[in-house]
Amino acid sequence: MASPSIPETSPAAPAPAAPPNPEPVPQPDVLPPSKVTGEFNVLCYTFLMLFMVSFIVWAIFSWTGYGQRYAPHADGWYKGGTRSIEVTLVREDMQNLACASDVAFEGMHCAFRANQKPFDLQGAEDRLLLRPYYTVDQVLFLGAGLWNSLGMTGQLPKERFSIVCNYHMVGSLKSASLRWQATGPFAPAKDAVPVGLLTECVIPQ
Amino acid sequence: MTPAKMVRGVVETGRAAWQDAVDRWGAQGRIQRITSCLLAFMIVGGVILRIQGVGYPPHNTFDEQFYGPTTHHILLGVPDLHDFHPPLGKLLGAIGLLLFGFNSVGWRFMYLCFGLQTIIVGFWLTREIFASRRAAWLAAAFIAADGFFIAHSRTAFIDIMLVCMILWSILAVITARTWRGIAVTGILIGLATSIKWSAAQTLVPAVLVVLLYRRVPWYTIFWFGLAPIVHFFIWMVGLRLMGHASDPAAILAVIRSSMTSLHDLGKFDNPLASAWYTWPVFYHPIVVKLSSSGTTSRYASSLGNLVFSFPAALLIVGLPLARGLTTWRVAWRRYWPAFFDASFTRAVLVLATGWAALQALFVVSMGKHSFFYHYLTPYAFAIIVLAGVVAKLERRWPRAVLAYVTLAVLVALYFVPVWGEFALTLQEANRRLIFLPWRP
Repeated sequence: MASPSIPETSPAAPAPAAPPNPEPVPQPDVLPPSKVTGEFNVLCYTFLMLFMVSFIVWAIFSWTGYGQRYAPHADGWYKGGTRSIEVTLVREDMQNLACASDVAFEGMHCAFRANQKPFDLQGAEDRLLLRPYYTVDQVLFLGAGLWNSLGMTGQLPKERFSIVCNYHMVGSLKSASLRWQATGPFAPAKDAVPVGLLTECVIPQ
Repeated sequence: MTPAKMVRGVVETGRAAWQDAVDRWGAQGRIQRITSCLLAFMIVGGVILRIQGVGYPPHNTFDEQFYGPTTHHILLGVPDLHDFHPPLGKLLGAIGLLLFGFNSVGWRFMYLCFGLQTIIVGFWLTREIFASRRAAWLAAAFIAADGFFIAHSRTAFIDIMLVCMILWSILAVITARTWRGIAVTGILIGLATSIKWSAAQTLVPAVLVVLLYRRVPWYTIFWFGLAPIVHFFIWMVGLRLMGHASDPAAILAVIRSSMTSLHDLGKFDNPLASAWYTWPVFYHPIVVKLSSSGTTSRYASSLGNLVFSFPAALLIVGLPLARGLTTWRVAWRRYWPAFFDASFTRAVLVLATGWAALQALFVVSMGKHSFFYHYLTPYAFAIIVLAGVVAKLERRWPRAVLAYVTLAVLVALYFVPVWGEFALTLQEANRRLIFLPWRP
């Protein structure tokens, strides 16, 4: 039985010829009301997608060795990294600057222990003695070997001067106290500080 | 559930999705099929363009210095507060460093992933808000083939994470059916705000969705109160990882200090700054990555696809105005329903509110500290409106939409070299970055 909404065609009328290769009529693309009761389905899909995207990109980069290609060009503020740094000093900083901590890194340590007694009664070589410095862009770090690398204080300027060194970072120290004047008190560093070796220091001309 | 059952479930889901795609392809007309192929080309091309050569240059460019090194300091426990923004962007960025080490691929990896994810979230949000798969595919293709999103996906720059997380928040509130969905939205807004504070403005469109769609009781909006709790928690984790004090007083002090610094930045001139009202016309897009080698340079310009940017801005401003006018004048009331149904109207109002709300901060309080990249999130809302309108138009005028999409592809192909960091001579670059404010 025909639906009342569809007009019936007369049996005498010739049936219209079907067009060759009829093109599909574009369908409206409105989604039906959701039957899904779980409201978190879409969020779960998208969350999983982020994992999948990250995994696929990681797999592509790892498989092609893409990350390794750029590894040597990093900035150097990381354990094992070397970077160029600039520091300003006065000659007296060799005596003024000191730190206190019980921790040693590859033989490098502060001049004083945490209880502020000397670390090594015999005295340590400058290349093993950590001192606190600020870079010109205000990054605090502990470095050893600066004065040794500069050739001690012989030909150093009398006024404040600037030096550039290679800094090889070996670790990070959280529990250090710092002193900025020879007769001044030690104050605990609020935050962790990079620790490393300063080499090839030069006074820029 | 056994692993075998899970694998079988995934295979069956994939097979059903493929069958669904084949059925839909069969239901499309010839013109629509050509349009579909162009959309697929835009999506695939956009994905490839984002990934290729992302590690170049192997040093920080533009504002990457605030995110790559800072992220590294978080991992080392070395204190670093020289970036004023909340820590979540950098915490997420740290995943890249854990996978690849501290190098340009490592510090750009997660931003790239979020850049790709933005295409997916854009798809789902459009699908849910317009209840149209076609609009969703159009939105995904428009986002994929737009230089604004491409350049930011290739840069260690937190705005691409921000836009992704904000779209995700709106998706969550659109799909919410109980208080739990609203609570999840609150958490997502808290996460977005922990990338950049400007994301707090997402609360405006989110509240509008609750009130306008009425799928959940109005008082569930109090669950958005989870956002500041999440934000506070993320700060605590970030500060602790960086070796700072992380008690509530210290967190408040850091937040106050960072906000003061950001506010103070607004007092200084910056040659890259641009007023908010110039953003929709792409007056001063920023080249967010630039590197030179010999006589060639590589550019990642945040200039959008002009075929999308101007119509998107016109629509997101014009449609709510038109709606207002047709309500105001009795004689015009019949025009709006002739073109747009109630659900479309709601969607446009939500997206337009999001577009306006996410610029509001820069209109009222940021002084000179407003940059073109602050338009990235509002632009995503505008693109979604554009996709919704184009999908509607396609039902009546498929040929016109095919012509429009073809034009978009051609324009994209022309600008691809300055979006995807191809090696270009100055003349080749200037031929694309025609106006002086477009150049670095």
